[in-house]
Amino acid sequence: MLGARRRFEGHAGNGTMTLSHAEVGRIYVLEGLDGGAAFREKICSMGLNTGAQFRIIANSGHGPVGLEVRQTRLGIGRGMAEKIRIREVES
Amino acid sequence: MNPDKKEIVVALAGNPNSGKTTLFNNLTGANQHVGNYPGVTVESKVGVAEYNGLRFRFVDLPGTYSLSAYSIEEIIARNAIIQGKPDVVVNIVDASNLERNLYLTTQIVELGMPVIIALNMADMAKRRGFLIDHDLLSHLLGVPVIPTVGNKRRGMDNLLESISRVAKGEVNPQPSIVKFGKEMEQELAGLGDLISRDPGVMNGYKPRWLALKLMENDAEVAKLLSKHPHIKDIVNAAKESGSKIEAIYGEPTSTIISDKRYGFISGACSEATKLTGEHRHDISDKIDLALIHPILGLPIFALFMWLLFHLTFSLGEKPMEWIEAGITALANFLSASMPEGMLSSLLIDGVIGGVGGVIVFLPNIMILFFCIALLEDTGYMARAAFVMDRIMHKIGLHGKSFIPMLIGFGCTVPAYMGSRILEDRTDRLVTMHVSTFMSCGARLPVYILVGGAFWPEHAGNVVFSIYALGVVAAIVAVKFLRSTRFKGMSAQFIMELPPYRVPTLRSLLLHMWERAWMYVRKAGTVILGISIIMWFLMTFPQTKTFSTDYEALIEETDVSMSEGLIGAGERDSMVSQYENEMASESISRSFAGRLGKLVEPVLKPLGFDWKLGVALIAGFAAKEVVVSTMGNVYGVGEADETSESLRSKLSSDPNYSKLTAYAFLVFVLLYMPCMAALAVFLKESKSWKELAFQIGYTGALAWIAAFVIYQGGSLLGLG
Amino acid sequence: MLEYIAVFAIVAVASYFVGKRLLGHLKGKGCGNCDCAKQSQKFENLVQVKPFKDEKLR
Repeated sequence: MLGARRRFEGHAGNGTMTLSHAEVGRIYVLEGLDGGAAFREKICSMGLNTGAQFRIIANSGHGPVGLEVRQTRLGIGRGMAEKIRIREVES
Repeated sequence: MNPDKKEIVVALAGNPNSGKTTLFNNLTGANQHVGNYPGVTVESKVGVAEYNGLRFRFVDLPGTYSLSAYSIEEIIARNAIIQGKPDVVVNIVDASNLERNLYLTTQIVELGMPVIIALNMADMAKRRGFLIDHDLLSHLLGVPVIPTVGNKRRGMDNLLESISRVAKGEVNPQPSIVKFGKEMEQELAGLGDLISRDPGVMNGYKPRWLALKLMENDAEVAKLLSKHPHIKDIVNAAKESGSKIEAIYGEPTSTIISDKRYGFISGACSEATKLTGEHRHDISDKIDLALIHPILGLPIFALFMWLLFHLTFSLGEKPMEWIEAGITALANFLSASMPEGMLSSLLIDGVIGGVGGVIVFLPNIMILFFCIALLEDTGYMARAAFVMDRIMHKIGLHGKSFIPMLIGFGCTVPAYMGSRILEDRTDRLVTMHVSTFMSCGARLPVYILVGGAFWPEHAGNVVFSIYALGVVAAIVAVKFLRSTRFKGMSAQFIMELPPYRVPTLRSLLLHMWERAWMYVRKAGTVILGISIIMWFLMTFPQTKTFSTDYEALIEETDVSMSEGLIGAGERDSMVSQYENEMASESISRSFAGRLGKLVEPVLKPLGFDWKLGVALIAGFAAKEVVVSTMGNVYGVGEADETSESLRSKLSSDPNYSKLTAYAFLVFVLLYMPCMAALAVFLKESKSWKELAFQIGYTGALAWIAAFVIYQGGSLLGLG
Repeated sequence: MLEYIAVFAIVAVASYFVGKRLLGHLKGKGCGNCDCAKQSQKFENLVQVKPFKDEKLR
């Protein structure tokens, strides 16, 4: 949060990471949503459910992450991005 | 439906940004009624239309992405359909965003009402490379699919035709309902049976839907069923079913449900959609790349804002002059046709001076709001919010705080209300405390007046600098307040970046017109009333004897002229000067003037005099009143042969320099908001202590900033 | 004399209406100038922020 700025670290051994660490231009698949039911429904209803593939269009390590999923573009606040587990997909 | 029924009730549901509102406007035109759903701040819109001898009543439901119980909009939309029992639900679906939009569709059809899909923005989809076979889609989804292009008004008749057919029962759609897998369906059937044992409670709700909601832990449905005689059994059964499903799949039930929905949707879409060779993604992509670029994003945003203010001034200049000329003509006409006296003074100096001073800026206001509507309708505002959140994060202000702040640029009141989205009280308070630095629309006339008066060539830049200063002040204030009381919270929001659209002139003009009308209305009501009161306060008590015998001085100039010592021109300007001094002294002795004189010592170090003092105090009622009060001050009792504009009178006042003017602008920027806003502040914060702090610290900050500017500038020789 | 009456009447009426209006403002209903509720709703639509309580992962 305040202070530490970790850029593109946070890769777990099996390749799972959070959306906040995704790299621009790459394609990922959504593995899991680590939040309460309201959070999960909100993310889902806007197009991002488990198994959905998406492409990152903006992520500067600060502020929201921009991505494209199912022909829609979304901006996801950093706080939420840290609760979204993703895995990279070989394109 | 009863064919003899008078009216066909149609509910319009759909995602935000799907073009629902445009469609609603197309169908109902001016026959709309806008209100609020009882007890909440959610807007309700109802309108009527006639087609083929039939009457339709359209209800525009709040835009939602889902029908869960997690947001008030969704609950309202859901209840409107279930309890309102419309004859038809028209689900507006954005064709260029088909899959995501259908997520809501699958939920709507579960409610059991007849559904028609309006496949909107079909032209957009084609341009982006998707060809949708709407007949096939209709077949797969089991509901009529009518292609429409909302902003070109295409497809409206077909839609109305389809609505009447369905409403009359000539067409009976059998929507395809999403199946959630064998195990889930079993549980749903069981639960459904349990619920339908007491049909009384159900009241139009489908048992399967209730069962589904229970398994999703829907709080509203739980509340609804609490009266059910078998509620305990039902709740236990639902819990058991939930655990069973989770054990089988290893995921929460709600996840399974959404997965199945998208599964169904993907299937239908891949069959009914053909991708034409080219993905026209590229242009939209490249634009976004620049607009939300980590480095370019902010400068581009600043550029747009700068352009906004520049246009407001340059395009507004001529119309402003016309209005000014008209007002001056009116004033001259009145002064010529009315006997000089109190009544004429009230009308000319009070009413025309005050209201005229504010009305003059109508063109600027219109241009400003036109540009804002342009930025909104093209879809840029979403990118701006994206960029702003990134900046906030970068400087250590993560949190949803900036969101209510952005609303503050229109009016501080909704910004205060908007801070409700922050759960932490300290976060809320800090956000509310700085919202006022996002200059509300009412301060703009002050900026335009003073900016235009003292910097005729560079007014746009000056006003832009004031707004920018406001943002800086907010950032500094948040950082300061946070270090003393705040605990940060990461940004929890998700927003759609809608595809770029070419907005329709109609919608832009509509927005502009709405705001323009509000401005005129305020001028003609509150500001008119206050101008009259101000006139009174500035005229009484009247001054009978002056410090200097002005009358004698004026006589002397006449004598000098007749003796040939001075020319006619010189005589006129000397007389003008004497008359202005008389007027000034007159006002300074009035109620208002005395109040101004009272605060003058406090304002003198800032370069302000009692006149500005009165204007600032009056600004407590409404910020535009600062302008109307200046109009009153320079109107009351002055020489009207010169018929100058308020701007030129201000700039030619010997007491004011550019330095004073800028210090004044900064003061107006920072000092406390109007009483309407403060009242809402109190309501939202529920604390007199916080209110006092808001008033105190904004006043102090305004004073210090103006002091630094004025004194500092004087020292540097800028004054 | 008539003039005085006319003027005072106008000022009195203005004061009455303005007073009523401002009192309404003080009661915290906003100023009816910009449709406060709609503005905040429009914005909440743009940026979907809802105060959802984030429970622990189920």
